[in-house]
Parts: sequence; C-alpha cells; structure tokens
Amino acid sequence: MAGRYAEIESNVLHLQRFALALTRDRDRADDLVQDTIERAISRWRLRKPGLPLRPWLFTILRNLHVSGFRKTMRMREASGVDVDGLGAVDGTAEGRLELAQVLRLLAQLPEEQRVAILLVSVEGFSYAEASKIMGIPAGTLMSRLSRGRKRLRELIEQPPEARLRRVV
Amino acid sequence: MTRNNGPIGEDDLTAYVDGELSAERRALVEDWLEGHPEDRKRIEADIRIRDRLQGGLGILVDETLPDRFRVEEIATGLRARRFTQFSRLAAVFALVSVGVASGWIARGRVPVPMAVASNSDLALAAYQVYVPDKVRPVEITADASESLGVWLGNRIGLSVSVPDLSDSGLKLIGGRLLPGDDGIPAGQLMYEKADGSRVTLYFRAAKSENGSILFQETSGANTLAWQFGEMAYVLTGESDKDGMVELAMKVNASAS
Repeated sequence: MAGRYAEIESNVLHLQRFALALTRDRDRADDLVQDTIERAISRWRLRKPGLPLRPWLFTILRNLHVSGFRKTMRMREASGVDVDGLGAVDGTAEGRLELAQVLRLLAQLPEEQRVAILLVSVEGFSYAEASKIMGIPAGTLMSRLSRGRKRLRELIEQPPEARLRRVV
Repeated sequence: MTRNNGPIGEDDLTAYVDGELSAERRALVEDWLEGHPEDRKRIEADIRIRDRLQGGLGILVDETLPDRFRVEEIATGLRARRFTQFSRLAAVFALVSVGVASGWIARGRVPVPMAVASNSDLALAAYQVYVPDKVRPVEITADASESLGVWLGNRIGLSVSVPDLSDSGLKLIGGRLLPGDDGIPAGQLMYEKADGSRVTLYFRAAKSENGSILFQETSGANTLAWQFGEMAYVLTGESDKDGMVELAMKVNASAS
C-alpha cells in the first residue's frame, strides 16, 4: 500500500500542472487531481501490469476532465490566468509572470491542440503514450501538434502589426 | 509514423522536433533542412517555443507537494467517507425489522430499486445452482486467491479484492464468473463454514449511484444487497440480517 501511494505521489505535481493548464483555475485543477488520485486508488488493481503509471494517471485525469465537462456542462473556461489567481506558486516574481504568460498563450489554442502540446512538449510523453491518453490515432495527434505549433509560432514569433497586416 | 522512404513532409518536421524519428529518417530530414532554410527556421522556432513552455511551466513541478495531496491521507479519507455512507445506511436499515421490511417490500410500500432487486434474484439463483454442488462448486479454486481477484476484476471492469472472512469462520473455496443482467459480467465468491454451510458473495459494477441496502428472506436463503464504491454486492446465505450486515462491513473493509 505504502509503495503504491508513494508511486502515485511522485506524479502528483505533474498531474497538477496538467490540470491547471487544462482548467486554468487552481481550485478546479486541484479538485480534478484529487478525483484522479481517488480513482487511481480504487482502480489500482485494474492497471495492466508492466505499464508505466504516469500515462495511466494522465488518462484518468483527462477522462475525468472531459466527462466533467459533459456532466456539468460547465464549458465556461477562465479567459485568462492572472498571476494572483494561480495561488501559492513557488518561484521568483519573474518566474510566476512567465508562467502566467505561457498559460495565457496556451489558452489561445483549441483544447485538443493544447492537450497534445502539453502531453508531448511539456510532459515528454511519446507519441504512442500521448495518443493513448487522448484516445486518438498517432496521425491525428501529429496533426494537432502541427496545427498547435503553427498557431504558437504566429502568436509568439510574429509582432502584432505583422499579424494585423496578414488579417487585412 | 516514421516512414523511412518517401519525401520529407509535415509529419517528419513535427516528429523531428519531438525526437520521434528513426536515426535514419532523422539524418534524411537534417540533410533536407540544409536546402530549406525556411523550414529550418520554423523548426528552430518550434524548439524555442517548446523550451519556453517547459521553462515557464517548469516551476509548477519544482514545488513541494501540497499537503492536500498526500496520497495516504486521500486513501484514508476515501475509506472513511465510504464507511460513513454505508454505516449510516446500515444504522437506518437496522431499525427496520426483517419481517416488517419484507412485508412492506412485498406490498410495494418501500420503493425497491430494480437494479438491486434483480441483483439479489440473480445472486440467489446462482447460490441455489452452485452451492449444493459438492464436486465442482467453483470455477477457480481459492489456491490462487490473488489471481482469482485479478481475473474477476479484469472481467467485470473494476478492481476486486477477495475478502478474507476467516474471522467469521468462513473459509474461501473459490469463485466464478457469472452473467449479470444486460449481459454484464458478475463475479461470485463462495465461502464455507466448518459445518459445511456456504455463503456466496455476488458482485458486479454498479449501474448507478444507489445507496440502498436490501435484505430479503426466502425459503432457500437470505440475501443482503448493497453498494459500496463502484461495486454492487449481494451476500447470500443462511445468516440472519445482523450476521449479513457484519459480513458486509468486512467486505467493504477489504474493498477500500
């Protein structure tokens, strides 16, 4: 028991980060993590032996997030994250500001692209793991990554005037 | 996802950034990028952005674990919550005497959820078929109670721990898989007392959140149906209601 709890615990901060990037709301993110841990405890014996724990936990969290949306119809998402809204985050003021900016950038992507980029680029999951977590084929994952990155390039690398000119 | 021949395409550029190409394909992409400076710039931008995302979000995993997420405590809380729910119900349930309860149920005054009632019927039927069998009462014997739980759990889609009821003088014989209603699989564990009488525990994934506890007496055996966590249970045997509730508590304890 203690071993399995420690194993889950070593993934909690990563789950919390993923949840925060999904919900952009500290309280909802924390509830999501709590629900994920509870479900992992009660379904522990159903894990396929030999499979790494982290992708399994991320799958649970992702499914809870999706079904939570469906159940409560709370499609409303916080439009942005202000630095104070993040709650107690350790780190320097610059670090906290950069965090808020990165979350804001990600918030401008459609959810499916955001999740793909979080799983692959931030959490370092392989394509095989990430597509399993999202329940999509690897090809779909790659096109979401590609579209998401294109959007991020536009947002980050192009000055606002250039973007304006392109729109007009 | 990493074709080794064919022209360099968007998938290659995406997979290149994520280190998902074979060494061979990766070398081809690198050669190709030499002649395509625009794409090279784009790849460099993607890598820069990835590093920025990792850096910006990195402080969230460098934190110390919030107290709220001590897993041991969450597990304890989960157990306590389920127990309180069940104990509260069991306490209310104990106030209703058996005779009165079954009378009321028969006259339809106590609403009996259909799912629970039908689980009891199926459990009782399985009890009546398999318990009298002296030669082969179970499909899998208790020798491997660990793998028995794993096997049944995989089939019914929930984690199953085989309760140890030896404190109550019940020795595990083994278990089997059964059809539940709607074709959903259920499990049956069989226990035996020193006097040869047997008790079965029938279980399946619950269909809905249903807190009711239901005790029924028939000429053959008594059943106690309840739900704990995501599992619906039915105990079948000759014990009275109090004996059944006590066993149910032990089943819950082993499940949490």
